[in-house]
Amino acid sequence: MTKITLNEDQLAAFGNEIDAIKQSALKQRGQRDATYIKRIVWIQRALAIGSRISIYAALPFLPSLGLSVASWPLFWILIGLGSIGLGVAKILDNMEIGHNIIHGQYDWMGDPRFHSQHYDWDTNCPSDQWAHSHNYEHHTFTNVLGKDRDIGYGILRMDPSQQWHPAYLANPIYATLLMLFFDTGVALHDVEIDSLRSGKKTFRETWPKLKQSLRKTARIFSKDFILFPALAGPLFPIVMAANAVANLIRNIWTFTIIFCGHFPAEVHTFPEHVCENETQGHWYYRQLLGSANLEGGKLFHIMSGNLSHQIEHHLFPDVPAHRYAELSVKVRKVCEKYDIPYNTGPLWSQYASVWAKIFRLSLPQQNTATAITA
Amino acid sequence: MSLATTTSRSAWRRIVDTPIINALAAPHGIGRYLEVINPMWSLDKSRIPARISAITAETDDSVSIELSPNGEWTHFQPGQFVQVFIEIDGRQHSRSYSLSNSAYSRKPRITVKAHDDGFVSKYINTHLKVGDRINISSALGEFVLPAQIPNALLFIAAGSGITPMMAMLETLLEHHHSGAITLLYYSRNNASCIFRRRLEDLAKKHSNFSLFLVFSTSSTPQTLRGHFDQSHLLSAISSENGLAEHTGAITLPLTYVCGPEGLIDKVSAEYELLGHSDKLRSERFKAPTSQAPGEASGSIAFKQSQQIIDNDGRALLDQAEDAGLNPQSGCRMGICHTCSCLKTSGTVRNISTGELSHGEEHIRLCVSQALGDVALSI
Repeated sequence: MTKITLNEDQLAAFGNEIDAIKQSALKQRGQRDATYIKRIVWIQRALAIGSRISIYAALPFLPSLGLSVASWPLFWILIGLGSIGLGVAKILDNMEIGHNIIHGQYDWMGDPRFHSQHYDWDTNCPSDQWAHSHNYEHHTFTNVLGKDRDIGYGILRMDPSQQWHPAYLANPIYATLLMLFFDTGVALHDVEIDSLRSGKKTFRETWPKLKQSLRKTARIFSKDFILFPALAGPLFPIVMAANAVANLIRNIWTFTIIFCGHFPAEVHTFPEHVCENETQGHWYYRQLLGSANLEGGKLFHIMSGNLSHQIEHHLFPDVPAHRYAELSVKVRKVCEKYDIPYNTGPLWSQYASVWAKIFRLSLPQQNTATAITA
Repeated sequence: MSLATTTSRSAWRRIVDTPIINALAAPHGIGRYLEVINPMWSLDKSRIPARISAITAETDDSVSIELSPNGEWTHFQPGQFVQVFIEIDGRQHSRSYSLSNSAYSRKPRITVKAHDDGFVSKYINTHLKVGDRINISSALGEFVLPAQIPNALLFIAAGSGITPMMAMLETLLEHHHSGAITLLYYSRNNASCIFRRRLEDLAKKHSNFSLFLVFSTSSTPQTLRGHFDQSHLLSAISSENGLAEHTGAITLPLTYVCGPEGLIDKVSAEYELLGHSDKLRSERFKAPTSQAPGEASGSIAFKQSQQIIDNDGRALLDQAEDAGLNPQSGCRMGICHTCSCLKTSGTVRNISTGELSHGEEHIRLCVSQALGDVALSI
């Protein structure tokens, strides 16, 4: 682990420089950001409509129907494009649009379509529950053990200072299940089912959120797995399978991007006491050390909701995310100046490092969280 | 006479906007997909897209904008206003403008005077073009004619306060209302008199309509000059169309007043003096100002955003915005409820009505000021 060497004055100076980057970005918000988010929403909606049409357009080509147009290649091409397209549409909806809007990045536009209090996304988790568990808990107490429930999502052992238990031998299996059913995992996150299990909360306390979450899940689930398939009549299972593939693509991708943001090696976790009397500079410092970036092209950044710039996202959660790329250049310069590690790498190496951790921590291991001392 | 002008929502909208189709479009709703194909197909009822179909200059600094809203727009009553949403540099700005034409006309019209410090009204006057798209709310407001229209009506307006009156006049006169109508309209001079020609034409055409154009700085010979006072009122009600003036007691007709604060205050005082406050209907297009900074105490806690600020006594919306928050807001004068939010504890006063709200209640941020410690769920 990197040794942390900033003193109180340096931390304050560092904090001021990061803050200046943020303020200048906030001041620049305007037409460019509005045009950007509107364009992405347009692309997302058009892609969702087009992909659904493509799935149905594949059906007449199914040879078993015995129609004169029967063709396996055309069937697979259309249904494949439809499923992948729908998966991509869901990724855009959840990441570059939903995640960023619910963060309040576009509240300043004064348009309810892009306002955090009004936006609902195409995933099982009710947006206001997510705003609590993610915007508030995770973004305030980033990587603080015992406070940031994103560490392990109540299921996994993702940090050596989490007490080992034989149940964690199945850590990689839990991680795989969480990856495949990530939408459901997120939907249950703010409900704190784990607190119910451990007896920290009663069923009565958990029920209102659980009820809300189940209702939203039923709404989203019935759309993809009952209503749209029903439009295909007897070919119900084919459309359902295509929609399942789209959901699976979304789940695997979002899990991948999100886990790469905080769990690669060299990312720091912190003990609870660091939050006491934390200064602004110290907070920025903790966000920086607790996050990791992914390198890639413009399309990759859009598809990851710009969470590939996890560091910038954690420093500036309410700055429109499409600006993170340009801000990262400035942030890196500040990091170099103060000799602060800036954790970045290509997707494959960060992801490999995450899985290595999942496997390694399934076994007992003693260690403690990094204390950053000023 | 009846003023009902209801038109119904188009058939295809009713077919497409059903629970089953919206379930297929969950969680966004079908309108969010339709507007991808054509922005005018939005099914939003609170922000109805409207294309600008005509722009007419009324004076040097005021224009009438004729709007072609989509099928979500149904009807309005003369005297009502709409909230207008205009995007300037990525931000939606909202202002309220009275509808200024006959409630029977197919296309609603607003008339906007560019105020010296009016960012949006200046933009409307100089930047909007025919073919541009803006959003409007449905018609709002209680400043409307009664169901049973009395035999005599008096309208008192100044400046752009003429706009709701114009809608009432056009609706009544063009549809052959036969009762006596008098308009007392104050403007600076001939050139700043909005709708002057139209009003004069109406007065020529309809013998039951008496028009008094009053200029404050003009040298043109007018019957009346300067600012509203009792003599103007007496001249207006004793005009030849027969509004009653009895010896000893003055009977005032049902009166509508709209314009700057000063005019409304003066007219209100006069009506009170004459014992006829019940005859007066007024519309103020400005939130009453809240208490001066310095008198306020306590702090305001914004719970979701984890911020606590000292209460300076201004409207909670202004204080929240100055604290860097972006709560939803609309009319900013307590009409539209866009800024409604849950107050979890504390007491606030409604700036316009003086009503108090204690404890957990929904309040409108734009017209509420904190009395001591207040916690809001934003």
